[in-house]
Amino acid sequence: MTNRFWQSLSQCLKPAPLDVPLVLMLGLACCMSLLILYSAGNENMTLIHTQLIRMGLGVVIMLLIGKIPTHITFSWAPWFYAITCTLLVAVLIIGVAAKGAPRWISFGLFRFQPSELSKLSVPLMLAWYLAQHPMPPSPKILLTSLGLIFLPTLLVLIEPDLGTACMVGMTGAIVILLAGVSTRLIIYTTGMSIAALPILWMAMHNYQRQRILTFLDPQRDPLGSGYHIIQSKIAIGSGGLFGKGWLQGTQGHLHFLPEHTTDFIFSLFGEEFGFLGSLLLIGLFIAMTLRGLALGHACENTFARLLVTSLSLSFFLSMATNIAMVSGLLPVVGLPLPLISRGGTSLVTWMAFFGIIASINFNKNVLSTSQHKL
Amino acid sequence: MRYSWRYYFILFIFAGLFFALMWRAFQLTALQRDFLLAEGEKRSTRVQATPAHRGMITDRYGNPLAISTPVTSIWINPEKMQEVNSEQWQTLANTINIPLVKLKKFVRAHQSKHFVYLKRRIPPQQAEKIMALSLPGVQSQKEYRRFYPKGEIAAQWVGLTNVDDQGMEGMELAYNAYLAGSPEKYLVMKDRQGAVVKKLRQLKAGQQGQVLTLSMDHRMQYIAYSALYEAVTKAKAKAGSIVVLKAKTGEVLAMADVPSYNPNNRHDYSPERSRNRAVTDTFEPGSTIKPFSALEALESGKYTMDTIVDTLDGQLNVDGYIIREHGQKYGRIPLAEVIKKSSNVGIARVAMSLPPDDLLSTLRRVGFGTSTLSGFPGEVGGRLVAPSVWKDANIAALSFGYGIATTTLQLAQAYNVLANHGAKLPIHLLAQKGEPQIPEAVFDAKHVDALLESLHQVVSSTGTGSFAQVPGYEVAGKTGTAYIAGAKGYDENARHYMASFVGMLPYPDPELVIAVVIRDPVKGHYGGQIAGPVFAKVASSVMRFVEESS
Repeated sequence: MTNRFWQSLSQCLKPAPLDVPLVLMLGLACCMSLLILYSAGNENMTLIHTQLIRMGLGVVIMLLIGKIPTHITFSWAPWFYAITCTLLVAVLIIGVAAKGAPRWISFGLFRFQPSELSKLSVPLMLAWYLAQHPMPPSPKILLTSLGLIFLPTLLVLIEPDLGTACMVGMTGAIVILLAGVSTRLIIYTTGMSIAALPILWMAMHNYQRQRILTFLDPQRDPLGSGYHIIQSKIAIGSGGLFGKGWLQGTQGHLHFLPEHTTDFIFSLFGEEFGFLGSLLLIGLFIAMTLRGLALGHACENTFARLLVTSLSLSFFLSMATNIAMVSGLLPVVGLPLPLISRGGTSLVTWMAFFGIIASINFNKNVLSTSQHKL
Repeated sequence: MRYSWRYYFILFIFAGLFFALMWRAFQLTALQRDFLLAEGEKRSTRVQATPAHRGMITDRYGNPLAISTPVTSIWINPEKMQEVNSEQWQTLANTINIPLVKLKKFVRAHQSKHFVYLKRRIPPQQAEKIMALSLPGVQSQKEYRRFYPKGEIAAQWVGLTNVDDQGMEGMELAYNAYLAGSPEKYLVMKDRQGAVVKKLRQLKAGQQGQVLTLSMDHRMQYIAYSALYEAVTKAKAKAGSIVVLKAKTGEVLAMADVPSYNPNNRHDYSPERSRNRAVTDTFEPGSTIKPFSALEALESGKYTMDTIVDTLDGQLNVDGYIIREHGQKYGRIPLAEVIKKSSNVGIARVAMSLPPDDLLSTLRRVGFGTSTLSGFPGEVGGRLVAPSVWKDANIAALSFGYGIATTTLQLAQAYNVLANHGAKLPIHLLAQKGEPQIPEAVFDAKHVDALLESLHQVVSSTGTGSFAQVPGYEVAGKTGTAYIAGAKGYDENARHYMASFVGMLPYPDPELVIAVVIRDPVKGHYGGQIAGPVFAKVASSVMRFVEESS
């Protein structure tokens, strides 16, 4: 009896078997984050300590999630989705405001953003739902899936958090695309979206139109809404090929660059490490995405494959959106750079992503014995 | 496991995204790099000038007349000050000596600004205490404050600087570049709030301002100002000015004006008080011109000081103008007596007997009609022009000092020619080093000495300048009492006079020339009566210093 207890305890404490290359790359990304945050925070160690604690928490969560067998993940998916939606509703009622929008729920010791969780729970839920039906999904299934995406997206949107809402919506769209939609439907949807643009423009508030116009030409309002993007472009561009060097970026250190520890961290990275540094960072993210896709490819059941593939692409999409945003390719909507930006909830969520991605293959045998064979 | 084409389609889109990002990064870091780099520098680098220490102005012995002391100005960025907590607000209010309520109100009133002076020119020690609080949005700036130890006694001559430490008036203005030096210029890096983060490189080496040594003797200046002030007050006059010249060098030892002001207190300032009347204001000198008319007569060879002049019965009609004597009738008197008694009729008759252009040229040779070139800002040359046709009335008027405008300094300069026995020296406002210049002889010393003798008689107990006697010294000089021309010309009933006295001592080889001009006295009006005692008072005190230094 005692022996048995110790055995199960050691089983519990044994680290989850995770994909080694992915974990190594994750570690490298964390190191890069600490490096640039040290510079962004004007060599302030408190910021580093806080972020290290968050990373530690992220690693624990990743390891815990990594130990969860896929069939458990599968069966918990709807609950997780329900909890997320509840929290999203809760944040609208008891949310704590920071910088204008109430996006946080406070738990005394710490606070977190439920909207970040929805990035994970939406693909989980969709993968769970779609995996139970034959592929490609029927229009009815498709419509339900859209509804599943729409609910959390709307909740996030009214917080308001436009950036995260877009990410949640796109992550859901990726899952649907992967599950398979008829070519005709894709063409129709695309065509209708383009046709709807003028109507959308008419329906917009004046300040929203201003924002789009400023995005198209930041010089329209260099001291107002164009300010961020001009400063950010200056930062990236002045880095050149090799960058100004670590701790040498003037745009960030002289406070010209806004939000340079969160959304605009890539600009500072580009300024200090140059084109080559940016290439290295984007390359690392690409490698992680590709590794994730490869792991998803190796999955034997639809749920796991759908989940891992969409999570990997979602990771890439978040990175691409952030960089496109800070380099002036997309309007500034407020999205952090995955793993690198300061901020706890985002980091922990991404760690959970990688917990799922990196462990899924080690759990496939477990899954193959589960009742949900697909 | 096989994938549908959709999977590859999605991968393709993502690859496209990747290349778009890379292209963008390349575009920014390579193609637009120089432009963006320049844009960044525009935002963060600024040229900062550290002001040079403005040079001191001293009198001829090195006593300070204007000194710059370092002060600090505190400026704030109200937007940034939102981060200041209530405890810090209280400390700041205490340190800077502004009531907390007032301080907060001030900051709130400038909420939309990024640069507001909170307090200018406070002692560096106090500023250090404020900066030691290291509050967000509170910055300091090093400056200099100009202090004038002699205050009102030399205010007009020394001049004044403005709040930006640039000369505005007087010698401060005339020698601004010399005094100011040049600021050290640095290229600095500033953050968004405008605080200097670091110095990048020096653009221009600075040069400290240099010391300007005036020809002034501050003791004489004090005596001259006090005596003038007292006389102007006593006579209830509008204004007055005095110039003390060192005869052998042409240096101005004292030059004072009343009314004056305290340059250390800007509320005291007004253009009327700050004007150096001795060089900027002209007036018709009246009788103080007579010695030069007599000098013309001597130079012509037709007259000596003993030549008898008939002053008629004290009245002379020239072209319908009546020339009158100030006092009684003098009858037939020698030229020396004409000067001693200041006979208008006598000197007019002498001048009318000579070619008119000779009088003009005599007056020009002693410096009337042109600026003394002392270098003082706003100095005027007065007015001395030949009429298109010479009439007897013009000649007569000019011979006793009407139809000519002069400054007090020009008057002193002209008498300095007499003091130097006919040699003209340039006027200096700065202390002269080395050997004095060899003067340019413009008149025959014999004639000048003959004239000096009669000017010596002016200051005898029977002359018009008896009030100008100085115990222990022999004096030569001339009084002047002139009507001030009003809207209706010279109105005898209006009783506006210019009372003057120009004297030299010790006779016969003068060391000093002192010119005193008092405008519009109410109590009394004769030059000898009003200006003479000022001369006597100044000369008796000042001669001590001359003897001391020789």
